[in-house]
Amino acid sequence: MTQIDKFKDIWKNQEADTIKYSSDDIQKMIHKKSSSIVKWLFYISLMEFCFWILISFALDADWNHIKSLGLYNFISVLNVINYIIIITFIYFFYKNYKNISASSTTQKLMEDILKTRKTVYFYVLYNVTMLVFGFAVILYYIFTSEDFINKLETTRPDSDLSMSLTIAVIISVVIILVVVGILLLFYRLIYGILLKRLIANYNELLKN
Amino acid sequence: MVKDLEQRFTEDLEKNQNIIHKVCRAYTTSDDAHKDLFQEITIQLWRAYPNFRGDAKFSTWTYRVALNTAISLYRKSKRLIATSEINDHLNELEFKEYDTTKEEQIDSLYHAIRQLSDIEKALCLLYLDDKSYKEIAETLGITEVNARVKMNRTKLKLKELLNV
Repeated sequence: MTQIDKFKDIWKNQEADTIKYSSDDIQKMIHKKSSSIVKWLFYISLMEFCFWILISFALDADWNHIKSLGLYNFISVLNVINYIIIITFIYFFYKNYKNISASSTTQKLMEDILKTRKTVYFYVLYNVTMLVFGFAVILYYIFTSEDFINKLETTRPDSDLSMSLTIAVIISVVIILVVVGILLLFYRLIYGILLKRLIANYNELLKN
Repeated sequence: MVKDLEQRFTEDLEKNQNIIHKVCRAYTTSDDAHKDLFQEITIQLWRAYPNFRGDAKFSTWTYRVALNTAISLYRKSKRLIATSEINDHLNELEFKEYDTTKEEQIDSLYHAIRQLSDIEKALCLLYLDDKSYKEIAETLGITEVNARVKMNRTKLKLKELLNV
């Protein structure tokens, strides 16, 4: 018997906790709302789904003008693909979320939580990529349209056309990068705070 | 039907609440946090209860859900963390005035456990409750070999913390 084993007797003979709940107290508790990490993950993910769907609607409204540039087919195909992908993501998110059970093994529970988060992570990554790609295509069409070049020539007749275009492209790229940067930083912060402890525990559990 | 299930659950849990109190005491350091974690574990147990098939003992199943909630699902609020830090400091003072009475020994043991990591706490609790390596491995979802390695490390750490 090691010295540590002696503590087993103390442990087993410990008095019942000073806090004692009746079955009535327990019954009241089961009707309270959970404040677990999974609940937070679910709400944040729902907000993310809504946010990107709203963004796609907002951009859709502004694209009416762009359609006149000959992008109608491109935008229609992109929209259909986009909605199919969003529905697929929501399906997988819901499936993963439903799989989370507190009675799984500790490792499986952690993996299921992280899997759910990963689905949302890929969803965000997909949306950011689409946003950048969409903007790049639209800006290309704007900058190469006769309408835009004519306007540039009338508003700045003395300046070098290629120089003005370069500046316009650089400004656009910087704006896109800043927007993407802010989005990713915000995303990392939220999940960083929420899942830091869980990820650390998961790594410790797997370590030999 | 739901009422029957609810009654059976609350009665079973009332009898087995000591398991949850042990987990709460190991993972929290204030009464508020203890009650908060107890409530969260109860909610998680109730949610998983319809899938409880009875092939495991209710106490074993409760232990698993309680540990899982403490390790992976419980989110400490800022208010509770602030209180627990103060209480931890108070415990430290109590620990220095070591006495051999039973309650003091239990307090010292909990104080040492609280200084372990979340995973080590789980290993420690399962060990003190005399669970086999097979059961520990099954609860945590790791191999028996890994459970043994981790347990040896945890025991050494606990020994150091308890000064034995």
